[in-house]
Amino acid sequence: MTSRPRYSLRSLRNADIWSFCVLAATFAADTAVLMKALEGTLSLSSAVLLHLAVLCAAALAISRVMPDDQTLPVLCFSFAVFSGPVGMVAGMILVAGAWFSGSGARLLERWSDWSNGGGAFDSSMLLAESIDNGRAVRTSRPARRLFPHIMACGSFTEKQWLLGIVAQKYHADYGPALDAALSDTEPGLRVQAAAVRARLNDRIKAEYNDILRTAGGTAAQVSAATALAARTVHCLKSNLLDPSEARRLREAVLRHCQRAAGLHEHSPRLEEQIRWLLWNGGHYEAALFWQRNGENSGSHN
Amino acid sequence: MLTQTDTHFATDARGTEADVCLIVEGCYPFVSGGVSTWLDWLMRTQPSLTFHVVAIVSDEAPRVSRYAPPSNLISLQRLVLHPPVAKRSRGTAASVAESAELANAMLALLKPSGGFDALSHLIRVIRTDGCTPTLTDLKASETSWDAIVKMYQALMPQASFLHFYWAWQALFGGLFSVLLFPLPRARIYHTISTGYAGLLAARAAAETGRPAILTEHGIYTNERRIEILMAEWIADTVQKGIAADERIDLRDLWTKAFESFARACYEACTDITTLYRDNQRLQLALGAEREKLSVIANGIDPARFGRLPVASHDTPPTLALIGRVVPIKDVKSFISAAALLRRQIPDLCALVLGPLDEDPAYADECSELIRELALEDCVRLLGTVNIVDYMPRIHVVVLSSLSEAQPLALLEAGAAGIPCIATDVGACREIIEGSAEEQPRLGPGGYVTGLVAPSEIAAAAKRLLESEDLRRTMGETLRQRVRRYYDSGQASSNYHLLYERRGARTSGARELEGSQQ
Repeated sequence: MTSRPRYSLRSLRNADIWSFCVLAATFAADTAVLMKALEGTLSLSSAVLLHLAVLCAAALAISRVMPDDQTLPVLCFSFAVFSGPVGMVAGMILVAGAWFSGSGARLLERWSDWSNGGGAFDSSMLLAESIDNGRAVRTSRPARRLFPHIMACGSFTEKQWLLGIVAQKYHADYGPALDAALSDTEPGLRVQAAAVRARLNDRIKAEYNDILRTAGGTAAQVSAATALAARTVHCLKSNLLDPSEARRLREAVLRHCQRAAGLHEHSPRLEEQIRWLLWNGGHYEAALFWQRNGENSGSHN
Repeated sequence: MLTQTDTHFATDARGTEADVCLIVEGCYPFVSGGVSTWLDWLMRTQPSLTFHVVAIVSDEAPRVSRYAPPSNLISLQRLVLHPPVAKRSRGTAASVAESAELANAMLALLKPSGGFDALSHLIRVIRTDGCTPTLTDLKASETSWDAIVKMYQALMPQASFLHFYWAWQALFGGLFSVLLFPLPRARIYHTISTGYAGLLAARAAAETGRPAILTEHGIYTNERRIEILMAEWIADTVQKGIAADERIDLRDLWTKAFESFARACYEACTDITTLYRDNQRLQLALGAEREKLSVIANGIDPARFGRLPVASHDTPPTLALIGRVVPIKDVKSFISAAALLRRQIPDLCALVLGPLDEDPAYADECSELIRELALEDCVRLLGTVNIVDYMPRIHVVVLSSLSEAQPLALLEAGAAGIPCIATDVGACREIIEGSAEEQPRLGPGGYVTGLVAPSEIAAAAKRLLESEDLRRTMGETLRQRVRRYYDSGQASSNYHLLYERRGARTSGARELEGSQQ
């Protein structure tokens, strides 16, 4: 699998700054060559050769700081070949313009690449873009009140908004807010809470069935078993499963993970998940046994 | 006679004037049950009136009618919200308004102050110089592109333009389809929801000056809002966090659009009816005027159930849930309640009477829960049955639904003199305890419980199952209430009176008019 190129704001901005510096240095060198030629210190042929040498060095330097995009080096090189230092100034203006507008061809190409799934931006790049476009969280705005407070005395619209959040980004801590909405005095809100509950149940049931199917398969690698156990822990922590479903899931995954742990090398992460599942299921002795077992293996290692 | 497939409906709508044009979205005649059955009932119980039906559908996919057309249905037309747009319109068509004017008219409609007047203005803008543009002119021309860009800049410049563009096409493409649809001729336009159906009724009122009526079973705008707030297909392109933030994102745009459609419809309609009083709070909150509001409850034929014998005390104590086995009915809470109750009433029999095939996975989960709770000899999922056959052995009917409008199951049980336990949704409380206007007060016909509350259901059922007197008293109360307030004949005459008041002619009046000519 090939990994996607990852673009960071710093690397993109640094490339612009370095390009600008290279162009400035080239401008200085080329101006010096021209001055020497005009003073008569350099012959015309030497001046032309030096001019070309400076340009080649500049092109090489720019292509090093912008390895994946040769548009600007070629453009500046063309300017400079025919216009000398004036061409360099034109190149510097181009780079500065792209830097300030945030819409240089290179940056746009990165975005195009990103939107087609060909590259990835790191969080700094995405945050900068959000701030530039006014999409970022406005920390200056007053925060809404806490969820329990909204459920207790918020407006109908606020409560509906909150239930929307619960449906989209459910966390076990939102459970009490959902329960409160189910017994709200406003029928419209109870209906929404019921719809949210049904949606969450569907989602958790799909996850539950998938985990059970996987756990019923052949013994997995440690990494796969750890991932499955992590999904199970997440599922159980949601508090959306019936006690009987929770028990069944926990036991199936425990069998699967214990098998994987027995077949493979010592894995602290998997053992930690097993301990959690055992403890959560009320098998305290077994959980402590795994804890001691893990400590012993750790000390031997 | 209309065909039963939808490809060639009679399309005499432009020529013949009907008494009533019913406007429906996403139901009759292509989807059975609920509102569709009600519409079929409405037309059949008004034989002296003629009807056009405009059925709003999302796309041009062929659909099969689930209902035989009543004899007084003159025409059935499909209004497709998103037909394929023919070809990109080059340049500005002469009939299309300036993009700025179009954008401003649409923005005005979206404002909280926008309503019927804003819609009427938009209609005038679209029909500049009396010409009617095509859907392509409005959706895929340079003018529409400019209007989209202007609206984007005015509404949500920080959000993703790409997402805005497609949301605009979906929301306002539907709006344009409604505004360009050839309006059937009728004396009254009766819409069965707000949304696009409500928009068409509002447009009809604006263009013809004829009265528009709205009947809401559920509150469409609230249902849409719930759907929008939970939708995973709507991207959040602005990071609002949990701050009170006035920036408009896609969810806000969708919500604003449907709220504005509702405002236009409420303002345009002379009468706004619903099935039960609780709905009116939402209608008022969405901008309906109080004096236009009224309740016309659905009804049943009490005679069909009135002669059934009441379950005797020497038969096994029997609870029944009458309804489809689907998550919204929360059948699991009923099963859990039965488990709690069986500890105190060992010979308890709990029946679930309703189709199992609508959500087979959920039905399987219910069966599994029955097995896990070792209730195989107590709780039985019987599938679709003739309810009348079972009523004489049912002591208490339970409805554990998470959502209902005005459940017929309660009315039918009530007509048979069976006390009911229902969750506090829709009209359940009104049916069981009576509305605030009930005079004289009849008393409770059962118990109302919270949602997802098996222990409350079990406690209420225990009281009823253990006391024959209580059961008889409550059952008789419910029977009286159903006879008095939920008779289908009464509902039908209420609609007839409403139509007459708003100018529909009965067949007698038509004959008289004909003989005078």
